[in-house]
Amino acid sequence: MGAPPSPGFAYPLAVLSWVRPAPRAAVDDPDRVEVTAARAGDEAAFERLVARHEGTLYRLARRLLGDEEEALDAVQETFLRIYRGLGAFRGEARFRTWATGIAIHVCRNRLASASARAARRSVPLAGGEEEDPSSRFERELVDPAPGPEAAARGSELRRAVSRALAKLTPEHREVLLLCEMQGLSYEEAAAALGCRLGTVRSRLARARRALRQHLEGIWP
Amino acid sequence: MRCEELRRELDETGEITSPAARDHLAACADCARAVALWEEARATLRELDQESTPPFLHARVMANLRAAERERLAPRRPWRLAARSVAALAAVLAISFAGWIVWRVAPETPVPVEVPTAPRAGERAPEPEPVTLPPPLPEVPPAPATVSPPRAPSTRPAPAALREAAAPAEEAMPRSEAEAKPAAVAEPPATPVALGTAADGAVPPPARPSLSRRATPERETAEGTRAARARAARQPGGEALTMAARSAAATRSGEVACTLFAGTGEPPRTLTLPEPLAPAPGSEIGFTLLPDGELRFDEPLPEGSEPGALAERLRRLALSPGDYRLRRDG
Repeated sequence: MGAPPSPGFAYPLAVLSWVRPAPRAAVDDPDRVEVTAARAGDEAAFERLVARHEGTLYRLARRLLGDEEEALDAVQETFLRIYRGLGAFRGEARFRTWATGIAIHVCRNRLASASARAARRSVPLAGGEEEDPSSRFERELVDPAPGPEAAARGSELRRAVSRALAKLTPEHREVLLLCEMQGLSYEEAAAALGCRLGTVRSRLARARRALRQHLEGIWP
Repeated sequence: MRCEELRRELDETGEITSPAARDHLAACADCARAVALWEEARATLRELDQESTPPFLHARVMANLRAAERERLAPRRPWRLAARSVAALAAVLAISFAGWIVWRVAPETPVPVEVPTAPRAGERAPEPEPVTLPPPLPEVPPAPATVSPPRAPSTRPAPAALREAAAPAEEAMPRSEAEAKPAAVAEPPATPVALGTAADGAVPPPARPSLSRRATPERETAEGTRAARARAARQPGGEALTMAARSAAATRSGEVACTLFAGTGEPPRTLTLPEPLAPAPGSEIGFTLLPDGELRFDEPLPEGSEPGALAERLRRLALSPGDYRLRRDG
Protein backbone atom coordinates (compact mmCIF):
# COMPACT_ATOMS: atom_id res chain seq x y z
CA MET A 1 0.00 0.00 0.00
CA GLY A 2 1.22 3.44 -0.67
CA ALA A 3 1.50 6.25 1.81
CA PRO A 4 -1.79 7.83 2.84
CA PRO A 5 -2.49 11.20 1.31
CA SER A 6 -1.48 14.18 3.31
CA PRO A 7 -4.26 16.11 5.10
CA GLY A 8 -3.84 18.96 2.66
CA PHE A 9 -5.05 16.78 -0.20
CA ALA A 10 -7.36 14.53 1.72
CA TYR A 11 -9.93 17.21 2.51
CA PRO A 12 -10.59 18.41 -1.07
CA LEU A 13 -10.73 14.84 -2.28
CA ALA A 14 -13.23 13.99 0.42
CA VAL A 15 -15.39 16.96 -0.52
CA LEU A 16 -15.25 16.01 -4.16
CA SER A 17 -16.25 12.48 -3.41
CA TRP A 18 -19.16 13.80 -1.37
CA VAL A 19 -20.37 16.27 -3.97
CA ARG A 20 -19.93 14.08 -7.00
CA PRO A 21 -22.39 11.21 -7.04
CA ALA A 22 -20.83 7.84 -7.16
CA PRO A 23 -21.29 6.15 -10.52
CA ARG A 24 -24.00 3.58 -10.46
CA ALA A 25 -23.24 0.05 -11.20
CA ALA A 26 -24.13 -1.00 -14.71
CA VAL A 27 -27.40 -2.91 -14.78
CA ASP A 28 -27.91 -6.14 -16.54
CA ASP A 29 -29.23 -4.94 -19.85
CA PRO A 30 -30.32 -7.36 -22.57
CA ASP A 31 -29.57 -4.62 -25.10
CA ARG A 32 -26.00 -4.14 -23.97
CA VAL A 33 -24.41 -5.77 -27.00
CA GLU A 34 -26.44 -3.81 -29.51
CA VAL A 35 -25.97 -0.58 -27.63
CA THR A 36 -22.22 -1.06 -27.53
CA ALA A 37 -22.10 -1.89 -31.22
CA ALA A 38 -24.35 1.00 -32.15
CA ARG A 39 -22.18 3.40 -30.18
CA ALA A 40 -19.26 2.10 -32.19
CA GLY A 41 -21.08 2.99 -35.41
CA ASP A 42 -22.78 -0.27 -36.21
CA GLU A 43 -25.93 0.74 -38.03
CA ALA A 44 -27.28 -2.79 -38.12
CA ALA A 45 -27.03 -2.99 -34.35
CA PHE A 46 -28.98 0.19 -34.00
CA GLU A 47 -31.59 -1.11 -36.41
CA ARG A 48 -31.96 -4.18 -34.22
CA LEU A 49 -32.56 -1.90 -31.26
CA VAL A 50 -35.20 -0.06 -33.25
CA ALA A 51 -36.91 -3.26 -34.26
CA ARG A 52 -36.86 -4.48 -30.68
CA HIS A 53 -38.37 -1.41 -29.04
CA GLU A 54 -40.32 0.46 -31.68
CA GLY A 55 -43.53 -1.42 -30.96
CA THR A 56 -43.43 -0.76 -27.23
CA LEU A 57 -42.63 2.88 -27.72
CA TYR A 58 -45.27 3.26 -30.40
CA ARG A 59 -47.99 1.78 -28.21
CA LEU A 60 -46.92 3.94 -25.31
CA ALA A 61 -46.95 7.05 -27.48
CA ARG A 62 -50.30 6.20 -28.98
CA ARG A 63 -51.87 5.75 -25.56
CA LEU A 64 -50.30 8.93 -24.29
CA LEU A 65 -51.12 11.07 -27.31
CA GLY A 66 -54.37 9.43 -28.39
CA ASP A 67 -53.53 9.79 -32.07
CA GLU A 68 -51.85 7.36 -34.41
CA GLU A 69 -50.14 9.88 -36.63
CA GLU A 70 -48.91 11.82 -33.65
CA ALA A 71 -47.64 8.58 -32.18
CA LEU A 72 -45.78 7.75 -35.40
CA ASP A 73 -44.12 11.14 -35.44
CA ALA A 74 -43.31 10.85 -31.76
CA VAL A 75 -41.65 7.46 -32.26
CA GLN A 76 -39.56 8.80 -35.13
CA GLU A 77 -38.47 11.75 -33.05
CA THR A 78 -37.73 9.47 -30.13
CA PHE A 79 -35.42 7.24 -32.12
CA LEU A 80 -33.74 10.22 -33.67
CA ARG A 81 -32.99 11.53 -30.20
CA ILE A 82 -31.83 8.12 -29.13
CA TYR A 83 -29.54 7.91 -32.12
CA ARG A 84 -28.04 11.30 -31.44
CA GLY A 85 -27.82 10.79 -27.70
CA LEU A 86 -26.52 7.27 -27.69
CA GLY A 87 -23.03 8.53 -26.97
CA ALA A 88 -24.26 10.06 -23.72
CA PHE A 89 -25.96 6.86 -22.57
CA ARG A 90 -23.90 5.64 -19.61
CA GLY A 91 -25.62 2.33 -19.07
CA GLU A 92 -26.78 3.18 -15.55
CA ALA A 93 -30.28 2.07 -16.52
CA ARG A 94 -31.55 -0.34 -19.07
CA PHE A 95 -31.69 0.89 -22.62
CA ARG A 96 -35.41 0.26 -22.60
CA THR A 97 -35.90 2.46 -19.55
CA TRP A 98 -33.75 5.19 -21.04
CA ALA A 99 -35.60 5.05 -24.36
CA THR A 100 -38.95 5.07 -22.57
CA GLY A 101 -37.94 8.20 -20.69
CA ILE A 102 -37.06 9.89 -23.98
CA ALA A 103 -40.37 8.83 -25.51
CA ILE A 104 -42.29 10.23 -22.55
CA HIS A 105 -40.42 13.49 -22.84
CA VAL A 106 -41.22 13.70 -26.54
CA CYS A 107 -44.87 12.96 -25.89
CA ARG A 108 -45.05 15.60 -23.18
CA ASN A 109 -43.64 18.16 -25.56
CA ARG A 110 -46.11 17.19 -28.23
CA LEU A 111 -48.99 17.34 -25.80
CA ALA A 112 -47.91 20.83 -24.85
CA SER A 113 -47.59 21.99 -28.44
CA ALA A 114 -50.39 23.67 -30.27
CA SER A 115 -50.67 20.99 -32.91
CA ALA A 116 -51.14 18.31 -30.33
CA ARG A 117 -53.76 20.42 -28.59
CA ALA A 118 -55.61 20.81 -31.87
CA ALA A 119 -55.46 17.10 -32.45
CA ARG A 120 -56.79 16.43 -28.99
CA ARG A 121 -59.56 18.95 -29.55
CA SER A 122 -60.82 16.96 -32.48
CA VAL A 123 -60.45 13.71 -30.57
CA PRO A 124 -60.71 14.41 -26.84
CA LEU A 125 -58.72 12.23 -24.56
CA ALA A 126 -60.30 13.20 -21.28
CA GLY A 127 -63.95 13.76 -20.67
CA GLY A 128 -66.82 13.40 -23.06
CA GLU A 129 -68.48 10.30 -24.27
CA GLU A 130 -66.92 10.30 -27.72
CA GLU A 131 -65.36 7.15 -28.97
CA ASP A 132 -61.70 6.77 -28.19
CA PRO A 133 -59.49 7.60 -31.17
CA SER A 134 -57.82 4.25 -30.97
CA SER A 135 -61.08 2.34 -31.07
CA ARG A 136 -60.90 1.98 -34.84
CA PHE A 137 -57.43 0.56 -34.48
CA GLU A 138 -58.63 -1.68 -31.67
CA ARG A 139 -61.46 -3.09 -33.70
CA GLU A 140 -58.94 -4.32 -36.19
CA LEU A 141 -57.06 -6.03 -33.38
CA VAL A 142 -59.94 -8.07 -32.06
CA ASP A 143 -59.01 -11.69 -32.32
CA PRO A 144 -62.01 -13.69 -33.62
CA ALA A 145 -60.54 -16.95 -32.40
CA PRO A 146 -62.07 -17.06 -28.84
CA GLY A 147 -65.55 -17.19 -30.23
CA PRO A 148 -68.24 -14.60 -30.68
CA GLU A 149 -69.24 -14.03 -27.06
CA ALA A 150 -65.77 -14.04 -25.59
CA ALA A 151 -64.50 -11.88 -28.38
CA ALA A 152 -67.28 -9.44 -27.88
CA ARG A 153 -66.69 -9.28 -24.13
CA GLY A 154 -62.96 -8.87 -24.57
CA SER A 155 -63.45 -6.18 -27.15
CA GLU A 156 -65.91 -4.34 -24.94
CA LEU A 157 -63.61 -4.55 -21.96
CA ARG A 158 -60.67 -3.35 -24.00
CA ARG A 159 -62.72 -0.45 -25.24
CA ALA A 160 -63.85 0.32 -21.70
CA VAL A 161 -60.27 0.24 -20.44
CA SER A 162 -59.17 2.48 -23.29
CA ARG A 163 -61.93 4.91 -22.51
CA ALA A 164 -61.09 4.89 -18.82
CA LEU A 165 -57.41 5.42 -19.64
CA ALA A 166 -58.30 8.37 -21.81
CA LYS A 167 -60.10 10.00 -18.91
CA LEU A 168 -57.07 9.91 -16.65
CA THR A 169 -54.72 12.80 -16.25
CA PRO A 170 -51.49 12.57 -18.27
CA GLU A 171 -49.45 11.89 -15.13
CA HIS A 172 -51.70 9.04 -14.04
CA ARG A 173 -51.81 7.66 -17.56
CA GLU A 174 -48.02 7.72 -17.83
CA VAL A 175 -47.36 5.83 -14.64
CA LEU A 176 -50.17 3.35 -15.24
CA LEU A 177 -48.97 2.56 -18.75
CA LEU A 178 -45.40 2.12 -17.61
CA CYS A 179 -46.12 -0.08 -14.63
CA GLU A 180 -49.25 -1.95 -15.66
CA MET A 181 -49.05 -2.09 -19.43
CA GLN A 182 -45.29 -2.32 -19.97
CA GLY A 183 -44.52 -4.00 -16.66
CA LEU A 184 -41.74 -1.69 -15.60
CA SER A 185 -40.69 -1.84 -11.97
CA TYR A 186 -41.17 1.10 -9.71
CA GLU A 187 -37.48 1.94 -9.97
CA GLU A 188 -37.54 1.82 -13.74
CA ALA A 189 -40.68 3.90 -13.88
CA ALA A 190 -39.08 6.44 -11.57
CA ALA A 191 -36.03 6.56 -13.83
CA ALA A 192 -38.14 6.93 -16.95
CA LEU A 193 -40.42 9.57 -15.46
CA GLY A 194 -37.62 11.44 -13.78
CA CYS A 195 -39.20 11.41 -10.36
CA ARG A 196 -38.68 9.74 -7.00
CA LEU A 197 -39.63 6.21 -6.14
CA GLY A 198 -42.17 7.37 -3.52
CA THR A 199 -43.75 9.65 -6.06
CA VAL A 200 -44.18 6.74 -8.41
CA ARG A 201 -45.80 4.66 -5.68
CA SER A 202 -48.29 7.29 -4.61
CA ARG A 203 -49.04 8.38 -8.15
CA LEU A 204 -49.59 4.81 -9.26
CA ALA A 205 -51.98 4.14 -6.37
CA ARG A 206 -54.05 7.20 -7.30
CA ALA A 207 -53.97 6.18 -10.95
CA ARG A 208 -55.23 2.69 -10.16
CA ARG A 209 -58.02 4.07 -8.03
CA ALA A 210 -59.04 6.53 -10.75
CA LEU A 211 -59.02 3.82 -13.41
CA ARG A 212 -61.00 1.49 -11.19
CA GLN A 213 -63.61 4.13 -10.47
CA HIS A 214 -63.96 5.00 -14.14
CA LEU A 215 -64.33 1.35 -15.03
CA GLU A 216 -66.91 0.71 -12.33
CA GLY A 217 -68.89 3.61 -13.75
CA ILE A 218 -68.99 2.31 -17.31
CA TRP A 219 -68.67 -1.46 -16.87
CA PRO A 220 -71.78 -3.37 -15.81
CA MET B 1 -60.79 -5.72 7.33
CA ARG B 2 -63.12 -3.14 5.96
CA CYS B 3 -63.92 -2.49 2.32
CA GLU B 4 -61.95 0.78 2.27
CA GLU B 5 -58.85 -0.97 3.57
CA LEU B 6 -59.14 -3.65 0.92
CA ARG B 7 -59.55 -1.08 -1.83
CA ARG B 8 -56.53 0.82 -0.52
CA GLU B 9 -54.45 -2.34 -0.57
CA LEU B 10 -55.67 -3.02 -4.08
CA ASP B 11 -54.68 0.45 -5.24
CA GLU B 12 -51.28 0.40 -3.58
CA THR B 13 -50.15 -3.05 -4.63
CA GLY B 14 -52.36 -3.83 -7.57
CA GLU B 15 -53.29 -7.23 -6.14
CA ILE B 16 -54.73 -8.90 -3.04
CA THR B 17 -52.16 -10.93 -1.16
CA SER B 18 -52.82 -10.51 2.54
CA PRO B 19 -54.87 -13.24 4.33
CA ALA B 20 -57.15 -10.65 5.90
CA ALA B 21 -58.02 -9.31 2.48
CA ARG B 22 -58.72 -12.77 1.18
CA ASP B 23 -61.02 -13.45 4.10
CA HIS B 24 -62.85 -10.20 3.40
CA LEU B 25 -63.24 -11.06 -0.24
CA ALA B 26 -64.89 -14.34 0.65
CA ALA B 27 -67.49 -12.46 2.63
CA CYS B 28 -67.99 -9.26 0.60
CA ALA B 29 -69.53 -9.57 -2.83
CA ASP B 30 -68.95 -5.91 -3.78
CA CYS B 31 -65.28 -6.12 -3.03
CA ALA B 32 -65.04 -9.43 -4.83
CA ARG B 33 -66.65 -7.91 -7.91
CA ALA B 34 -64.38 -4.85 -7.74
CA VAL B 35 -61.28 -7.02 -7.45
CA ALA B 36 -62.42 -9.20 -10.33
CA LEU B 37 -63.02 -6.17 -12.52
CA TRP B 38 -59.61 -4.80 -11.66
CA GLU B 39 -57.89 -8.06 -12.50
CA GLU B 40 -59.64 -8.14 -15.84
CA ALA B 41 -58.66 -4.56 -16.50
CA ARG B 42 -55.08 -5.29 -15.52
CA ALA B 43 -54.94 -8.19 -17.90
CA THR B 44 -56.40 -6.00 -20.60
CA LEU B 45 -53.75 -3.42 -19.90
CA ARG B 46 -51.08 -6.05 -20.38
CA GLU B 47 -52.70 -7.06 -23.62
CA LEU B 48 -52.58 -3.50 -24.84
CA ASP B 49 -48.81 -3.84 -24.98
CA GLN B 50 -49.20 -6.73 -27.35
CA GLU B 51 -51.15 -4.81 -29.95
CA SER B 52 -49.77 -4.91 -33.41
CA THR B 53 -48.08 -1.88 -34.82
CA PRO B 54 -48.43 -0.38 -38.27
CA PRO B 55 -46.46 -2.46 -40.76
CA PHE B 56 -44.66 0.58 -42.09
CA LEU B 57 -43.47 1.72 -38.67
CA HIS B 58 -39.98 0.22 -38.89
CA ALA B 59 -39.36 1.42 -42.43
CA ARG B 60 -40.58 4.88 -41.56
CA VAL B 61 -38.40 5.15 -38.49
CA MET B 62 -35.31 3.94 -40.29
CA ALA B 63 -35.94 6.18 -43.30
CA ASN B 64 -36.24 9.13 -40.98
CA LEU B 65 -33.01 8.18 -39.25
CA ARG B 66 -31.12 7.75 -42.52
CA ALA B 67 -32.38 11.06 -43.82
CA ALA B 68 -31.24 12.76 -40.65
CA GLU B 69 -27.89 11.05 -40.87
CA ARG B 70 -27.43 12.09 -44.49
CA GLU B 71 -28.25 15.65 -43.54
CA ARG B 72 -25.78 15.53 -40.71
CA LEU B 73 -23.03 14.08 -42.85
CA ALA B 74 -23.68 16.38 -45.80
CA PRO B 75 -20.67 18.54 -46.70
CA ARG B 76 -20.80 21.94 -45.15
CA ARG B 77 -19.85 23.71 -48.40
CA PRO B 78 -17.88 26.56 -46.93
CA TRP B 79 -17.46 28.10 -50.38
CA ARG B 80 -21.09 29.16 -50.26
CA LEU B 81 -20.47 31.37 -47.27
CA ALA B 82 -17.35 32.77 -48.91
CA ALA B 83 -19.21 33.50 -52.14
CA ARG B 84 -21.98 35.29 -50.27
CA SER B 85 -19.46 37.35 -48.35
CA VAL B 86 -17.65 38.35 -51.53
CA ALA B 87 -20.92 39.29 -53.21
CA ALA B 88 -21.97 41.44 -50.26
CA LEU B 89 -18.59 43.17 -50.20
CA ALA B 90 -18.77 43.83 -53.94
CA ALA B 91 -22.23 45.33 -53.59
CA VAL B 92 -21.06 47.65 -50.83
CA LEU B 93 -18.06 48.74 -52.91
CA ALA B 94 -20.21 49.36 -55.98
CA ILE B 95 -22.67 51.48 -54.05
CA SER B 96 -19.86 53.47 -52.48
CA PHE B 97 -18.19 54.06 -55.86
CA ALA B 98 -21.49 55.16 -57.41
CA GLY B 99 -22.03 57.61 -54.59
CA TRP B 100 -18.54 59.00 -55.02
CA ILE B 101 -19.08 59.43 -58.76
CA VAL B 102 -22.36 61.25 -58.22
CA TRP B 103 -20.72 63.48 -55.65
CA ARG B 104 -17.89 64.35 -57.98
CA VAL B 105 -19.95 64.88 -61.12
CA ALA B 106 -22.82 66.81 -59.57
CA PRO B 107 -22.52 70.60 -60.23
CA GLU B 108 -22.33 73.08 -57.47
CA THR B 109 -25.61 74.03 -55.97
CA PRO B 110 -26.78 77.16 -57.76
CA VAL B 111 -28.02 80.17 -55.92
CA PRO B 112 -31.73 79.78 -55.50
CA VAL B 113 -33.44 82.15 -57.87
CA GLU B 114 -37.13 82.74 -57.93
CA VAL B 115 -38.54 82.76 -61.40
CA PRO B 116 -41.80 84.61 -61.57
CA THR B 117 -44.39 83.55 -64.02
CA ALA B 118 -44.86 86.13 -66.71
CA PRO B 119 -48.38 86.79 -67.94
CA ARG B 120 -49.11 86.06 -71.52
CA ALA B 121 -49.28 88.97 -73.82
CA GLY B 122 -52.78 90.10 -74.58
CA GLU B 123 -54.32 88.07 -71.85
CA ARG B 124 -57.15 89.87 -70.21
CA ALA B 125 -57.13 90.01 -66.48
CA PRO B 126 -60.17 88.72 -64.71
CA GLU B 127 -62.19 90.94 -62.50
CA PRO B 128 -60.67 90.99 -59.06
CA GLU B 129 -62.68 90.08 -56.09
CA PRO B 130 -63.87 93.06 -54.10
CA VAL B 131 -61.69 93.46 -51.09
CA THR B 132 -62.63 95.41 -48.07
CA LEU B 133 -59.65 96.57 -46.14
CA PRO B 134 -59.93 98.00 -42.69
CA PRO B 135 -58.99 101.64 -42.19
CA PRO B 136 -55.30 102.30 -41.82
CA LEU B 137 -53.75 102.33 -38.42
CA PRO B 138 -53.27 105.81 -37.08
CA GLU B 139 -49.57 105.40 -36.36
CA VAL B 140 -48.73 104.26 -39.86
CA PRO B 141 -48.75 107.07 -42.38
CA PRO B 142 -49.93 106.06 -45.80
CA ALA B 143 -46.83 105.64 -47.87
CA PRO B 144 -47.38 105.21 -51.55
CA ALA B 145 -45.21 102.75 -53.28
CA THR B 146 -44.07 102.59 -56.80
CA VAL B 147 -44.22 99.40 -58.73
CA SER B 148 -42.43 99.14 -62.00
CA PRO B 149 -42.87 95.74 -63.47
CA PRO B 150 -40.17 94.69 -65.88
CA ARG B 151 -42.33 93.78 -68.83
CA ALA B 152 -45.91 93.34 -67.78
CA PRO B 153 -48.22 96.21 -68.49
CA SER B 154 -50.13 97.84 -65.75
CA THR B 155 -53.03 95.73 -64.80
CA ARG B 156 -55.77 95.70 -62.33
CA PRO B 157 -54.79 95.39 -58.72
CA ALA B 158 -54.55 92.02 -57.11
CA PRO B 159 -55.20 92.35 -53.40
CA ALA B 160 -54.10 88.84 -52.62
CA ALA B 161 -50.88 89.44 -54.42
CA LEU B 162 -50.49 92.64 -52.54
CA ARG B 163 -50.83 90.87 -49.28
CA GLU B 164 -48.37 88.30 -50.49
CA ALA B 165 -45.96 91.01 -51.46
CA ALA B 166 -45.90 92.38 -47.98
CA ALA B 167 -45.49 89.07 -46.25
CA PRO B 168 -41.71 88.59 -46.57
CA ALA B 169 -40.98 91.99 -45.20
CA GLU B 170 -43.09 91.37 -42.18
CA GLU B 171 -41.51 88.02 -41.57
CA ALA B 172 -38.09 89.60 -41.60
CA MET B 173 -38.66 92.07 -38.82
CA PRO B 174 -40.92 92.76 -35.87
CA ARG B 175 -44.27 94.28 -36.52
CA SER B 176 -43.47 97.70 -35.11
CA GLU B 177 -40.37 97.93 -37.23
CA ALA B 178 -42.22 96.71 -40.24
CA GLU B 179 -44.85 99.31 -39.78
CA ALA B 180 -42.28 102.07 -39.42
CA LYS B 181 -40.04 101.10 -42.33
CA PRO B 182 -42.18 101.21 -45.46
CA ALA B 183 -42.21 104.97 -45.80
CA ALA B 184 -38.45 105.16 -45.57
CA VAL B 185 -37.66 102.49 -48.12
CA ALA B 186 -40.27 103.41 -50.66
CA GLU B 187 -38.88 104.78 -53.82
CA PRO B 188 -40.16 108.05 -55.19
CA PRO B 189 -43.42 107.22 -56.83
CA ALA B 190 -43.23 107.21 -60.53
CA THR B 191 -46.86 106.34 -60.75
CA PRO B 192 -48.39 106.90 -57.37
CA VAL B 193 -51.40 104.81 -56.71
CA ALA B 194 -53.90 105.06 -53.99
CA LEU B 195 -55.29 102.31 -51.89
CA GLY B 196 -58.60 101.03 -53.05
CA THR B 197 -58.46 102.48 -56.52
CA ALA B 198 -58.88 99.20 -58.20
CA ALA B 199 -60.95 100.55 -61.00
CA ASP B 200 -58.16 102.68 -62.43
CA GLY B 201 -55.84 99.77 -62.78
CA ALA B 202 -53.34 101.04 -60.26
CA VAL B 203 -51.69 98.88 -57.68
CA PRO B 204 -52.00 99.59 -53.99
CA PRO B 205 -48.72 100.05 -52.19
CA PRO B 206 -47.34 97.11 -50.25
CA ALA B 207 -46.95 99.18 -47.17
CA ARG B 208 -49.30 97.55 -44.74
CA PRO B 209 -48.30 94.02 -43.97
CA SER B 210 -49.97 94.04 -40.64
CA LEU B 211 -53.20 95.31 -42.07
CA SER B 212 -53.15 92.86 -44.87
CA ARG B 213 -52.63 90.06 -42.44
CA ARG B 214 -55.56 91.15 -40.41
CA ALA B 215 -57.72 91.57 -43.46
CA THR B 216 -57.72 87.95 -44.51
CA PRO B 217 -58.14 85.20 -41.94
CA GLU B 218 -56.72 82.58 -44.26
CA ARG B 219 -53.33 84.21 -43.92
CA GLU B 220 -53.19 82.82 -40.42
CA THR B 221 -52.19 79.46 -41.77
CA ALA B 222 -49.46 78.22 -44.02
CA GLU B 223 -52.02 76.89 -46.43
CA GLY B 224 -53.51 80.32 -46.67
CA THR B 225 -50.10 81.70 -47.50
CA ARG B 226 -49.57 79.20 -50.25
CA ALA B 227 -53.01 79.86 -51.64
CA ALA B 228 -52.37 83.59 -51.69
CA ARG B 229 -49.08 83.06 -53.49
CA ALA B 230 -50.76 80.86 -56.03
CA ARG B 231 -53.44 83.47 -56.64
CA ALA B 232 -50.82 86.14 -56.97
CA ALA B 233 -48.95 84.15 -59.55
CA ARG B 234 -52.10 83.47 -61.53
CA GLN B 235 -53.32 87.01 -61.68
CA PRO B 236 -51.91 89.32 -64.34
CA GLY B 237 -49.50 91.68 -62.81
CA GLY B 238 -49.00 89.40 -59.91
CA GLU B 239 -45.39 88.91 -60.78
CA ALA B 240 -44.93 92.64 -60.77
CA LEU B 241 -46.48 92.89 -57.38
CA THR B 242 -44.38 90.09 -56.08
CA MET B 243 -41.37 91.75 -57.58
CA ALA B 244 -42.25 94.98 -55.86
CA ALA B 245 -42.59 93.26 -52.55
CA ARG B 246 -39.33 91.48 -53.12
CA SER B 247 -37.71 94.77 -53.95
CA ALA B 248 -38.97 96.27 -50.73
CA ALA B 249 -37.80 93.28 -48.73
CA ALA B 250 -34.40 93.29 -50.42
CA THR B 251 -33.99 96.98 -49.79
CA ARG B 252 -34.69 96.46 -46.13
CA SER B 253 -32.13 93.73 -45.93
CA GLY B 254 -29.43 95.92 -47.51
CA GLU B 255 -29.61 94.46 -51.00
CA VAL B 256 -31.23 95.53 -54.21
CA ALA B 257 -33.76 93.51 -56.12
CA CYS B 258 -32.94 93.20 -59.77
CA THR B 259 -34.40 91.44 -62.75
CA LEU B 260 -32.34 89.58 -65.26
CA PHE B 261 -33.73 89.50 -68.79
CA ALA B 262 -32.38 86.86 -71.10
CA GLY B 263 -32.06 87.36 -74.80
CA THR B 264 -32.47 83.65 -75.32
CA GLY B 265 -36.21 83.78 -74.72
CA GLU B 266 -36.04 82.45 -71.21
CA PRO B 267 -38.35 84.05 -68.68
CA PRO B 268 -36.80 86.84 -66.62
CA ARG B 269 -35.22 85.98 -63.33
CA THR B 270 -35.29 87.99 -60.20
CA LEU B 271 -32.32 88.22 -57.93
CA THR B 272 -31.02 90.40 -55.20
CA LEU B 273 -27.62 92.03 -55.35
CA PRO B 274 -25.62 94.12 -52.95
CA GLU B 275 -25.86 97.80 -53.60
CA PRO B 276 -22.35 98.13 -55.10
CA LEU B 277 -23.08 95.41 -57.64
CA ALA B 278 -26.56 96.47 -58.66
CA PRO B 279 -27.21 98.78 -61.60
CA ALA B 280 -27.98 102.36 -60.90
CA PRO B 281 -31.65 103.23 -60.57
CA GLY B 282 -33.23 103.49 -63.91
CA SER B 283 -30.29 101.90 -65.73
CA GLU B 284 -29.41 98.50 -67.02
CA ILE B 285 -26.28 96.43 -67.34
CA GLY B 286 -25.96 94.38 -70.46
CA PHE B 287 -23.60 91.48 -70.68
CA THR B 288 -22.90 88.40 -72.76
CA LEU B 289 -22.08 85.02 -71.38
CA LEU B 290 -19.82 83.12 -73.73
CA PRO B 291 -19.92 79.35 -74.08
CA ASP B 292 -16.55 79.08 -72.40
CA GLY B 293 -17.95 80.76 -69.31
CA GLU B 294 -16.44 84.18 -69.97
CA LEU B 295 -18.72 87.06 -69.11
CA ARG B 296 -18.36 90.28 -71.05
CA PHE B 297 -20.20 93.46 -70.16
CA ASP B 298 -21.61 95.42 -73.07
CA GLU B 299 -20.47 98.68 -71.63
CA PRO B 300 -17.91 99.57 -69.04
CA LEU B 301 -19.42 99.71 -65.63
CA PRO B 302 -19.52 103.10 -63.94
CA GLU B 303 -17.00 104.23 -61.42
CA GLY B 304 -17.21 102.51 -58.07
CA SER B 305 -18.71 99.34 -59.48
CA GLU B 306 -17.21 95.96 -58.96
CA PRO B 307 -17.38 94.16 -62.30
CA GLY B 308 -15.40 91.18 -61.09
CA ALA B 309 -17.68 90.54 -58.15
CA LEU B 310 -20.77 91.08 -60.28
CA ALA B 311 -19.46 88.72 -62.93
CA GLU B 312 -18.78 86.09 -60.32
CA ARG B 313 -22.22 86.55 -58.88
CA LEU B 314 -23.80 86.21 -62.28
CA ARG B 315 -21.80 83.11 -63.10
CA ARG B 316 -23.15 81.44 -60.01
CA LEU B 317 -26.62 81.63 -61.53
CA ALA B 318 -25.68 78.81 -63.91
CA LEU B 319 -26.90 80.77 -66.88
CA SER B 320 -26.80 79.45 -70.37
CA PRO B 321 -24.63 81.29 -72.88
CA GLY B 322 -26.30 84.32 -74.43
CA ASP B 323 -27.10 87.97 -74.02
CA TYR B 324 -28.59 89.29 -70.82
CA ARG B 325 -29.76 92.56 -69.40
CA LEU B 326 -29.78 93.24 -65.69
CA ARG B 327 -32.24 95.86 -64.53
CA ARG B 328 -32.74 97.30 -61.11
CA ASP B 329 -36.25 96.94 -59.79
CA GLY B 330 -38.13 99.72 -58.18
